[in-house]
Amino acid sequence: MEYADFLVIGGGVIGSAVACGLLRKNHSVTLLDEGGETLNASLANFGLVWVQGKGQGSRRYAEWCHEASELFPEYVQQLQTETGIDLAFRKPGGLVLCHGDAEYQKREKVLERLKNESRFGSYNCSMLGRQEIQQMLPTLTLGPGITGGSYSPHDAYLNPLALLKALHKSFGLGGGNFSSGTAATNIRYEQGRFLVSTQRGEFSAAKIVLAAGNAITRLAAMVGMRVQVHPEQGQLMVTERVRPVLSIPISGIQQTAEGSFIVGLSNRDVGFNTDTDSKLMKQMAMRVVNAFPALASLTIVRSWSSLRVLSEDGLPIYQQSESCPGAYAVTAHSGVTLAPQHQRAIADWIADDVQPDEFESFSTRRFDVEKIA
Amino acid sequence: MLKRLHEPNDRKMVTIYFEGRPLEVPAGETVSAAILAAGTDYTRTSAISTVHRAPYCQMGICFECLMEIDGIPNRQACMIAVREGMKVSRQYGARGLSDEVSV
Repeated sequence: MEYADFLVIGGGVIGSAVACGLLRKNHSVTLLDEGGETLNASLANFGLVWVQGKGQGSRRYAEWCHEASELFPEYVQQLQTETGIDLAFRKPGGLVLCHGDAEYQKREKVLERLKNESRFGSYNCSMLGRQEIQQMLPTLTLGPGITGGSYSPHDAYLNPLALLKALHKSFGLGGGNFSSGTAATNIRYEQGRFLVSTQRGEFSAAKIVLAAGNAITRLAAMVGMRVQVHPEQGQLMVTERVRPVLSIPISGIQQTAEGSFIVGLSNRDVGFNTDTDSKLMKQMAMRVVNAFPALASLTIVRSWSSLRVLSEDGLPIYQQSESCPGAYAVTAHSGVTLAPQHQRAIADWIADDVQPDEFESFSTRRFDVEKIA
Repeated sequence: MLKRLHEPNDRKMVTIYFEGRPLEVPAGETVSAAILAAGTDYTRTSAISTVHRAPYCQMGICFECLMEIDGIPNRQACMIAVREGMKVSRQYGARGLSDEVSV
């Protein structure tokens, strides 16, 4: 039976970052991933490092995302130097475009709320008028329906496939044990140790980290935790490659380093379904063309759907089991944005029990109905 | 580079233009087959590394055969049949946004 100090279940962007963080603390770490046809949000997302607009009703979460964004440039530098993989990370700030007056006013209210909830009464994201936005985009003409939008200097973007590849490479270089095609079927807690059964045999560890995306609920229950998540479908499309014309990430539209435009922003509750929907594609395409008419001639080359992992309130869950201490659940829908937090602060919490400020905000205890009454 | 198995003796021929040069090719052939049979070792330069590339799968899934056809960039030459008067050019790197010319 294979033994390690830490066993991480789930080799996506969250599990891999935590695993790398634990390795850096000189522990033996095994990372298991189901592999194959797994519904893997890490391989199908938009690649945004996004801060603006997040955390309405949760100041701590807004700050958590902001902290991650501040750490990101140096985090990328470290990962790139270590692995030699270019993450195509750029932080010019990000835009949300508003189509029409109603959308503009709605967005303005969101920013107002975030400003009021913020610790110092400031929130570094501002509404911009149409002219100001057009000045930021000299090589792309805005469609007539764009009334303005919001801009934050904290937002950034990267190549999420390169990020995952770099994390896996870093894990290997650091001496981690990665086993793909290895789904965890059962977890037992005996005499202070965890025994994980898989198709490839048994693994044991002093501590385990559950980072299995939408499969976390079942595993968490085996170690006495209630971690409720549900899938939310997002659909994206990618176009043919174009010479560079857009160098600022926009919510729903970005141009990658290779020249393709990735477009789309949707959320549908369709269970564990990653089918694409051509009606939805048409709606999203129309929105892109309304934003930038010049993009109308681009051919869509590929489309796909993937499933976000959402907790009941959409915020991360970072929880240690009470009945099986040493078992940790780590789940969030912003695995890319929060990568530096997962590799550093969360790894510190798991390895050394050092808790970030106001960590209760991310505990499953916030869902206890009895307490609220 | 490519040689036809059978000479197109009884087939109707059409004239297309490759990089301005007229070519007589059998009607019904794909643009990629016609261009390769006419003798060229590349039909595009890739978007990032600018290396010479040529059609590969001939069935529309590899995207190696991208060429500019009748003013529209990045068309899959293996999925389009030749037409009298068609203008075909190599796709040099990524297209620009305003590269499309209405025909």
